[in-house]
Amino acid sequence: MKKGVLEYCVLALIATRWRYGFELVEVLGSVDGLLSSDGTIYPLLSRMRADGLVETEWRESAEGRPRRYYRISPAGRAALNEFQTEWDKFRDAVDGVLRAGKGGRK
Amino acid sequence: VTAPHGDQIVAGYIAQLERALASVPPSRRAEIVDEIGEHIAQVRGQIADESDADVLNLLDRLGDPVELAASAPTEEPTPVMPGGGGPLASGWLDIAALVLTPILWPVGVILLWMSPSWSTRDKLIGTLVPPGAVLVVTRWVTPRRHAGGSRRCREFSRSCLLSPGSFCGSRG
Repeated sequence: MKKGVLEYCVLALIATRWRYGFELVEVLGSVDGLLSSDGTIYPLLSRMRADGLVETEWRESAEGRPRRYYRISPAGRAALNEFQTEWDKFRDAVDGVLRAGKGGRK
Repeated sequence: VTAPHGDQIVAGYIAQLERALASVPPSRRAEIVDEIGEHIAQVRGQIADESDADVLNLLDRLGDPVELAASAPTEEPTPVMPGGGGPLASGWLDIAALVLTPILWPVGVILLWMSPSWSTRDKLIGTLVPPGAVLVVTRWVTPRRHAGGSRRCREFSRSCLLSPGSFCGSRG
């Protein structure tokens, strides 16, 4: 499940602006348990690019070396929206069950 | 200050990664290796007094090359065949039905009707043509050939339930 969720977290992070791979690792690495290892993100980005979920562009960085930047594609946006709907439903359903469990213990 | 063996350690890691990605299409492999090389350069740039241990730690966090490669698909995803049964199962049924229908007609017919690959019309043809052909051969073809000494051919065709019009003809 984590692996599937990671893909949508990447899409969410690049939904509003271009980011480069290392930047994504830094942000996602700060979320506990999301990255099994720092490198996980790179094969994932490559696959998402092949699947047409992300667009890439080389850009000059502040340090002078060009970097590959990623941004969500229209297909990626559609996939993210679909996931958001499913996730909201799933989260609410699980929350409901957990709350019912707590209520029963009172 | 860079680690005394930093570059060597990194080169070894990249070589391992390239080997692990051998089955990934070359353009995808280059993309992944490039990005991971860039990641390593970024992290190393942030370390002030770099030691060999720092480099090893950074590679540990990056992950085992074989595990990273395992999460990169080796080929483009293949579409799933519609209509029940795995492709292997239906493939075996098809081959078995093709081989067995002429030889062991009843077994072949059962397999033929089990296989999802043929339409009802094909299945009817497969079921009716072999016995029909034998009937035709024994009724009309063999009496004329009776004197021609092709008995062995006829017996062979009957025992195997082959439809042997051309088979016997080539002997005459």
